[in-house]
Amino acid sequence: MNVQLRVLLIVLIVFVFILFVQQIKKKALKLQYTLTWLALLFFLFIVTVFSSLQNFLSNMMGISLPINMIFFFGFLFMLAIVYRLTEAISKQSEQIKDLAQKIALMEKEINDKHK
Amino acid sequence: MKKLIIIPAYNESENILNTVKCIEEDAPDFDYVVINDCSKDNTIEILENNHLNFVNLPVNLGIGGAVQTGYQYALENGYDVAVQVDGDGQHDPNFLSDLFETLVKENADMVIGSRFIKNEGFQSTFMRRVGITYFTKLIRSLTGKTITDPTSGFRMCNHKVIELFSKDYPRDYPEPESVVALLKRKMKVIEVPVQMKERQGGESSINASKSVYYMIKVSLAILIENLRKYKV
Repeated sequence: MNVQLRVLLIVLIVFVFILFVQQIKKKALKLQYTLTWLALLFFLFIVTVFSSLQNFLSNMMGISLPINMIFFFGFLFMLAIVYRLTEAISKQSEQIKDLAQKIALMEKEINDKHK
Repeated sequence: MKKLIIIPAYNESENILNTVKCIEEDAPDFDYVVINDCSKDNTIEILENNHLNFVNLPVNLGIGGAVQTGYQYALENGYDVAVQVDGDGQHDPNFLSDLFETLVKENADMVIGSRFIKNEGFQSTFMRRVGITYFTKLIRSLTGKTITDPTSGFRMCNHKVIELFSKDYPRDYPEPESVVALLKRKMKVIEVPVQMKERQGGESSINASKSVYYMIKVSLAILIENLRKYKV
């Protein structure tokens, strides 16, 4: 990978990292759900900085261009992130359902008492 | 024995009053509760103005979530028996005594009102019957039990099942899946013949485009339910 691409990637990674830290600081994002994102950034940063590691990983996996290896790992991390989201949504929809039912039944109880 | 009729209602302003009146006339020994699943029409005004007994969900949960609220209401208020009667007037309250007698006599956990034992009354459309037959065969091949009308919502359960369903009930299209959940727990599920009417107004929750989703989702739900292990 040539120097221009590496510099571009590093600038992007640092930018996104700062953005994430700021959002977590402002409590707009929950650290719990952003860990996979941070892991992705960390991985990208390491392989971009150390080009020998890049070549080593690509050779080992039989990928001729290092950038493709980075795409591949990026894709795997995205899958992990999407999985986390699906899991979080499933859990939340169950929690929202439980809350709605509790509220409805409590409201009913209160209304009955006032009659 | 305290008996409760659970009436899930979503946009049923045309039918709900009539459904409740039929119940009060034909099944006076049953209490009822309407679960308004956050209807977009004026169902809530009709419930309030006529002083019907209802629970009002703050967000739309779908049929499974609404019916489950009914089971929770039954549990909280100490009912021994709960039966689902749809708000659209398809289920004839005259059959409730049949369901109840069978539940007591056979000591069953659930009694399902089936359209396809005597094949009388409204028999649903051809395509739906094909789908229902498919589910009957699927359930039979997995559990060995024959349920002729696994999609019937007209079902009565005892206290044990009320307790179970108030904790754990599928969200959408719950009927076939929850029958399998009971069969897997070796509970006694019996069917009795009933006649159903064509819905008297409003719209069915399952249209053409949803039916493909329905078949796939319910099939998968049944297969996954079959993988679950329960202590009997």
